[in-house]
Amino acid sequence: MTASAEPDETFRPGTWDYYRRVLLAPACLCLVAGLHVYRVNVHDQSPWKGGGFGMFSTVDSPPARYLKVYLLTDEGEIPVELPDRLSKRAAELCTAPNEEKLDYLTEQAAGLSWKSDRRYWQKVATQFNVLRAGERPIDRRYVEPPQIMSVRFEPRRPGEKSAVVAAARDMSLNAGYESVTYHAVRIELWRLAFESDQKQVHGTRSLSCTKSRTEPSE
Amino acid sequence: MSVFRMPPLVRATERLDQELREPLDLLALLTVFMLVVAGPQIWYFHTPIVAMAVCAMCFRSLVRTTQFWYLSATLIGTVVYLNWEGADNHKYLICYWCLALCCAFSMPPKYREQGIMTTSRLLLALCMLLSVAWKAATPDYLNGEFFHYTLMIDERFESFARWFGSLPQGVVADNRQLIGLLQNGHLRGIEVSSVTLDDAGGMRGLVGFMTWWTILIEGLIGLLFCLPDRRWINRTRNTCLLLFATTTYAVATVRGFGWMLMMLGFAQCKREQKGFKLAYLGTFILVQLYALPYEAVVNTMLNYFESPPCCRELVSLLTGTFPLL
Repeated sequence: MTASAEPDETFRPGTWDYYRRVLLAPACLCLVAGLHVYRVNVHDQSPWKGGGFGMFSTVDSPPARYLKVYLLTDEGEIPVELPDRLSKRAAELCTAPNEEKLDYLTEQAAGLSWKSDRRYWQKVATQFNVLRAGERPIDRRYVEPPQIMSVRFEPRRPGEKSAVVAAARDMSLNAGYESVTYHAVRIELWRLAFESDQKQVHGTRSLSCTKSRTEPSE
Repeated sequence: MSVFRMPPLVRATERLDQELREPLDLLALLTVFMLVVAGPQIWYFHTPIVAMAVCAMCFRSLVRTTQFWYLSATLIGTVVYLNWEGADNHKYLICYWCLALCCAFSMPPKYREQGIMTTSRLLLALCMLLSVAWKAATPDYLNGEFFHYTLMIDERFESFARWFGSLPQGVVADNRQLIGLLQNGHLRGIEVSSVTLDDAGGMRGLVGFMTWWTILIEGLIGLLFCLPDRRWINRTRNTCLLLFATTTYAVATVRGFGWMLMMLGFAQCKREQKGFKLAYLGTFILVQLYALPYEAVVNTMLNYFESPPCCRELVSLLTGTFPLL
């Protein structure tokens, strides 16, 4: 009887064994929250993410930090989106931005092949020519290059994806696309700020990085 | 009286009574349910957790083992660590909770309940106090900018803003489109650097109320859970936490956090506080009910009764605009 009761007594409230079990989870919470406070103040991490319970306290949430990515070509800048395989890096950059992360991301984007959806431009060219030449749609190959160029990188509405995307690693998926010649990639990190009195939302560029094109890695 | 001769309702009531008196089993099962339904949907978490849940359903004694909760805490901790940039705060809280269950089940049965009560109370106090500290330290929260902005652009708050802030229908979608224009609209030759949102001018009072109500209730809960255990303190803090959950999650439908708070509330109740335990269980269900798309259902029904499909078809046939043609 005594032998079986003894181990139980070491867990009695007030003992070290009891307290270390009861306080382990709250101690972890305090530790992570402390680290989060440090990272917010020193590394510009968003208060929303990181385990410090700063959600719903500021406009500066990760979606309020966003990236603008441009391919720099001889014809001008083409706004594009980063491919899914870089989305985690992009999210990390937005949540806790710094120059190293931006450099790395830009370098990765500059090492990608980018392709343009031929069918999309064919559709644009067709619509363009319908407008120009009455009701008779004509094929893209009959459209003069300057006309294509004039509609090529035209306005994109919010939410609309770019027709220029990163080439897939599986080359068979790149059929129907044409390669885009670019000489550099620029990625900008922007932030939204809200002015309550004016009800105005401002976008401010906080970081920017340009990298020359590198050969795509296999 | 034999158990088999008891009416089902009586049996169910007795079973519930038993579960409320010894709540650790119920808490463990609710946690497994929450991990499956509201846990991360990443394959290396979801697949093992579903397998573990199935095992737990087959062998109920499994959820009373330290190893089960150690594995759960490790899995969710790994997910949070590897995906820190997107992990919401309640995922961290779920991880601490699994760790708390692991520690509780490593103690002898007679001390488990006391242990989990203390841990839950501390977790609740800390998460509320930290939440208030962030809000109090952020100027754009205190001057009302945060809620003003959120009510204008956050879809989760849209119904609330329309009902209580007189925000016209469609304004949130328009505002989101304007924000989208800033973020990913590319207009050649035009640099859009700012947009003006619309709020129809009737939200000042609502914004002020939400800002200070949130600080007040979260601060009060945090403080009350830090105070020593007295009868009136116990009642007040449970009432405040239930009030917080029933009001907050009606507006911001963050199911995972709501469920986690309700489980912590349930876990810190004393053995004799069956009323509060039932209220926490009820609110656990209510948090899920809040997430249902009531407005969409009501609108669909209203549209249906205004012009049932057969009438629409008849009208379109008569007017020669039959949709299939």
